[in-house]
Amino acid sequence: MKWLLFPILFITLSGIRAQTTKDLIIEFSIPPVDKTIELEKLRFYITNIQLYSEDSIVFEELESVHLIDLMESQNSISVAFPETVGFNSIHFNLGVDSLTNVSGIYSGDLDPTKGMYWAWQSGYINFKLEGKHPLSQARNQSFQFHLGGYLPGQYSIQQLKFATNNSLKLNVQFDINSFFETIDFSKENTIMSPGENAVKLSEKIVTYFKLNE
Amino acid sequence: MNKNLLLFIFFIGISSLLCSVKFKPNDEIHLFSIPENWPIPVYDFNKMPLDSKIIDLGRHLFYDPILSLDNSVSCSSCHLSFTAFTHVDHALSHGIGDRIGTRNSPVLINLAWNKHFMWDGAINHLEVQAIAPITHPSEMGEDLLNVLAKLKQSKKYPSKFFHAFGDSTISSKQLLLALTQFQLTLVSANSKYDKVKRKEEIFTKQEKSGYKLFQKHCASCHTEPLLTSGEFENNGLPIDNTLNDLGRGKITQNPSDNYTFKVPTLRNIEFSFPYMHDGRFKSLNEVIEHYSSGISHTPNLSSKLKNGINLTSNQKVDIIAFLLTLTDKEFLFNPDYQFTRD
Ligand code: HEC
Ligand code: HEC
Repeated sequence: MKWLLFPILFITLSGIRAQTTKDLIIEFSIPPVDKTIELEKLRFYITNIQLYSEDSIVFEELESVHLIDLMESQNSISVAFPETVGFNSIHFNLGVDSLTNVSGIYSGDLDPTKGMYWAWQSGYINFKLEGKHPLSQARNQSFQFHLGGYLPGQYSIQQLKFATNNSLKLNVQFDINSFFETIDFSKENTIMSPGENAVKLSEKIVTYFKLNE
Repeated sequence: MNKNLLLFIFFIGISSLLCSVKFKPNDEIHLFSIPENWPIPVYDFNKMPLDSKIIDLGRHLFYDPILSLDNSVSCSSCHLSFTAFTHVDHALSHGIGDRIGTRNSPVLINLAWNKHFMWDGAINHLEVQAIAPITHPSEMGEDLLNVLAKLKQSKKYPSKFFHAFGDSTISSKQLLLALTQFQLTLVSANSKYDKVKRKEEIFTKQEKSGYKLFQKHCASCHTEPLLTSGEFENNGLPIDNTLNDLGRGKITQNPSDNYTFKVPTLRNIEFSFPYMHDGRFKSLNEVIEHYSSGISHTPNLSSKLKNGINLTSNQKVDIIAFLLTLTDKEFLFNPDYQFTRD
């Protein structure tokens, strides 16, 4: 009898797999950066991916947390969703929500060894950008933006929404050059903790994420 | 003959069944139980129930200087079991290379009921607390990845982690959960005060008078039975300009939180001197003197202390007599909390 179990199991499992899910690939990128600027780190969290059809939510990824690291070419996310689902917009967050921030220790992309966790004050860094800019007045002309915060008044998580027509591959570009143009590096070059400045910059950064079709 | 044997086997079977059934709940009760009439803990035990093997691992880690950069400082260097896990006699705690931190190390008591950690609540969960001392340059000065590498290379830990978690990766999550589980077992609920509450003992006349005064003047912040409300308050300490510690205000950046600090528990207060976030007072006499005549009207002083607390010299002695009933010798000298070789 045992020999029967295997084929049955195989058929049902492969059936489930083939029949029910499709993969949506979301790729993140930046355009080439001006040679005078040196990029050292560019990491951020993409969380809570949801697919919408018109105004109603049709799919929500479980345990939806992805660390993107554009300097280490860790730049794509694959989301498995039911084949029957049709969508015309995608929503996700740039950053980690407050519930996750107060719920203790996690592994995987949320592991505190990923360099995206503040040690001296609990909380995730949502977005980390470091490098050197000729106009920066900081030591070694460096700039460091560590953006995060989950307390009231410091909540810096941002939401992104893109319209798309059932496309299975999305390319999201962070238009870093246009963003850099808005920054006065002689004054604005270091944010290392949650607060008003981090919220403001997070609100600005999110507007430079664009869908490349 | 045959029947007797069967009966014998039957009994063995039943009794071993009973033992194995009973063992689990008993074990858990031994590891952690909520004392009578206490609130539900803040820590969510459903996420991962306490396990004696994980607790044992956490206990070894707590006492092991392997967690620090130069292998010189362990958690217990600043949190000593005999003094309710505080750094006795040091106003500001000392870390690696004798660097001095900016705060007095607090007691580690009844942490399962803590809503916030650190004097300013900078840490929001016990599981992530240890990241702070391990990576703080003037505490243990180490990097988490480096600590994990050292643990993996050690003789002792790969098998201990395997034993505790059933896998030998040694992850930061496992390290932090083990430290958490050990610290969750640090429950103090057996002081004379507790025994009086349970009607097993009675207060002396002086202690009783002190208790009444305490309930009137102190218990709004040092709330029973935990002897802390867990909230942030300014209890009128003059500002130390060399440290200019904003307390909670530094975290929330809300000026109305400036100079407020987490109300500490007063359990085992006899042994946890020096007192306050910067260890400015060496004795309970000084603390009582502060509340009766030293309140400083700094921003956000608690309205409860605006007029100071008027106490006669007898009343001061009585309050101290009551505070001494919060000493829990079983907690302080519990062998399960101490350093162990194996
Ligand atoms: C160099 C001394 C030092 C070392 C080493 C140290 N601590 Fe602490 N600990 C402190 C100080 C000081 C505070 C309070 C910090 C603050 O309020 O900013 C503290 C706070 C805590 C708290 C918060 C308690 C509460 O009620 O808020 C816990 C829990 C704790 N430490 C556990 C540990 C563990 C676990 C280790 C080892 C991994 C450790 N500590 C190592 C000095 C130390
Ligand atoms: C308004 C709230 C409030 C009231 C009322 C209050 N306390 Fe406190 N108490 C605190 C706070 C907050 C701290 C910590 C302050 C700091 O370190 O900045 C503290 C600290 C202490 C400490 C030092 C504990 C330690 O571990 O360092 C003792 C002892 C103490 N209080 C005793 C008392 C007594 C006795 C009374 C009544 C006479 C009293 N308190 C009334 C808020 C209060």
